[in-house]
Amino acid sequence: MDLDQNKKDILKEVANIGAGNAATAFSGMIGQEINMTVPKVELIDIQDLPSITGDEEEYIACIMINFSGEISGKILLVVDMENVERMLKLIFSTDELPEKSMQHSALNELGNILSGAYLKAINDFTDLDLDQSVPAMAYDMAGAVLSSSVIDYSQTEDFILLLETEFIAGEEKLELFYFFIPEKDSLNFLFKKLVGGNFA
Amino acid sequence: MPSPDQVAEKLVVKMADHAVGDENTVLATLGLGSCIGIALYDKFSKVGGLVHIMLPENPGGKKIVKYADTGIPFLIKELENIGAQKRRLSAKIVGGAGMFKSESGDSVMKIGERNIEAVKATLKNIGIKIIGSDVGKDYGRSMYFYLDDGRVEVKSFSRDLKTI
Repeated sequence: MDLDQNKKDILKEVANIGAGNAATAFSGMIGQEINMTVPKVELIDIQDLPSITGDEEEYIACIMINFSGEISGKILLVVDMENVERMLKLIFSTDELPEKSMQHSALNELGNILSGAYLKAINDFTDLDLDQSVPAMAYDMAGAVLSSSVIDYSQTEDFILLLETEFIAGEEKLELFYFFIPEKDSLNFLFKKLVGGNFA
Repeated sequence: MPSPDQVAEKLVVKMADHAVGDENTVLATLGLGSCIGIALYDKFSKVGGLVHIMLPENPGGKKIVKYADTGIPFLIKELENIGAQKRRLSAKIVGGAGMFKSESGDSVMKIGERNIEAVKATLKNIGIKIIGSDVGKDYGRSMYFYLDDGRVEVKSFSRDLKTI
């Protein structure tokens, strides 16, 4: 697949707009200021996917949301386990965490809100209509989780298109990885709409 | 048993990749989720190989070791090239988990189960016996395949170290 600079710039802008809105929503949820990195747009070899957040044997939590409509794909939120606990304490404004099912619900809600904000900004910018699914979650080794998340895209593809933004929250510098992974074929529609070009 | 650091060479096999070696080798693959690691061993010539497949069937993709039905025969050929005999090969398989769950606790993707079925069917067709397995359920695994005696160690967060 050809990803020229022009298309890369468009995707970067899309990621920037989406992530900006998601950062605002995240900030509201945990009551901390959020810094975000400049979004990266990369085509990565599927073999390298297990280590995109670092050590493939690190214990992480991952919230996955599918989106569909005029473009389709997945959103992954990835946080290492130590940061998950600190983040939950901020969400619940307490040092003592509630029972597991409440924690689980809170993380699902975090996924819903962040992906909702991201997609809403893209919808407004591109005039696309995108819907999101209910979140699914996994807590385990990064490699096992990340490889399984996009396995349905790897049937005929050896490369995955990744729009990555990192959020860093508050004085504690909590890190959250935000991955927007559009199905490449569905992007034609987006490019046509934004520049009238083809994306093949 | 020799510990890993006494062994001459450790090779890490990435997803959709494979490696072979002799008795001085340890083949490792880290973070198996719904993917499956297939370890094939010839205990007489003490050579073995590991392939890390992601999907059950190859629809015509070029990366043949990504799929169970084309990856396993490819690994066997590679093993025959370094002195293994097909009729002496045995298999150990690890992985095939369902990693993601919905809020109600249901597994959301069934690819792990389909991988297990495809790996078992492919090995059966070729006539290779599965002599050890740690597959399915809902957790990630790393596997270490010691080619001095063919043992496979399986590590995970939620379970104790297991040797198959």
